[in-house]
Amino acid sequence: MNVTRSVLASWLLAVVIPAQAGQAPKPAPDQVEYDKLVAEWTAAMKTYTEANKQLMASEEYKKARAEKDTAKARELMASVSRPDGKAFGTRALELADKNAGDDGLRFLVYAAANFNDKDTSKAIAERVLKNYLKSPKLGDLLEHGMALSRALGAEEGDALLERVKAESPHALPKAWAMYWQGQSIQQGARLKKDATAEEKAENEAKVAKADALFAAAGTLAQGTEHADRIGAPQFEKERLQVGMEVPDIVGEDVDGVPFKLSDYRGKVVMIDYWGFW
Amino acid sequence: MFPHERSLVERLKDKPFSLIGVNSDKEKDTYFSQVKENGISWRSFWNGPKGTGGPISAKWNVRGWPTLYVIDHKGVIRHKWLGNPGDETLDAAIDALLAEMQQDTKK
Repeated sequence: MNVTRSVLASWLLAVVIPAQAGQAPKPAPDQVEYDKLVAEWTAAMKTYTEANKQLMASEEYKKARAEKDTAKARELMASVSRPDGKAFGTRALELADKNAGDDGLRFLVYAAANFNDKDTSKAIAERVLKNYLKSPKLGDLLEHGMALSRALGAEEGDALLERVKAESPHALPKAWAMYWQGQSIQQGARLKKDATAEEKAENEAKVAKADALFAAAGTLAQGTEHADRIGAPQFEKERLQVGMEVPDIVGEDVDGVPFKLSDYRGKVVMIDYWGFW
Repeated sequence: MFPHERSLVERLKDKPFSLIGVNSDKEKDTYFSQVKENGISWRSFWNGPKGTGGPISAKWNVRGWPTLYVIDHKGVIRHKWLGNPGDETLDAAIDALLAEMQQDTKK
């Protein structure tokens, strides 16, 4: 029996090894599953976008729009179904649970960034608290902190961010936590037209608190790949107000030709952030 | 927004005025497939494959689309709007800055 086995083994080795020689190493199983998840979601979104485009171009939809028949237009819109974020989310959570550590975290990152499903986001938040508070990669997930805090609600969302601030040993997760706390305070700081003096003072305190969080977040994020985005609220406040000299934009046009906003200095310029979508 | 921007660019084509876009379509194909039929003649930065999450709008803290800035000939931000402020407001703002520029160069 032993002899047979070893003969069989050497035969297998002889066949298998040469067959693999010269090939790239086989990707890890979790990489295969990750790529599959991404490919399937991308395909589903593409199908959805195409179907939506076709609907917009259809006579029936144009007619409903022209006649301002919003009920009909809405009904038509609803006939194009979005990819099932919950089903994809459930799958991502299972894959995350199967793959421990940072390998699992990336399934959660992809889910938070794309699936837009409340239950999935809640489940992600639970796993952050349980497994990933100290992960150096937690910043990748908290980049999509808006989805998490929307799913959790103001109080629970804030509690999660507080835990990150207190317990993460890394700069980027902490910076994102402060950034999102600032955002949620800022959103709550919209002043009514007929606000009382007391309401105004309260509002000013909120704005100051948000600004302080943004400033701290920006400082922590310096030198990271997300420095610009996390530092943006502070950049807008300090550099992009009416009366200030406009900061330059250096980039490429849609044809790939490099140019700068300052090339147009000496003219009146309107900058339009736009898209066809 | 396009129809008015088109007529604005057309009306001011001989004036020292430029409309510069920051196009935030995720795919350049989306841009190229529609740019002609919409008569977009002005130059745009491309915000990159992340679309509205791209680096230029991220740095400028852009929170809504369109976001508009109007810069005078000295490079000073004179107006900023989140959302289209309306054709008349836009025209008046730009015409006033062009007049101001003319005054300045006369001096």
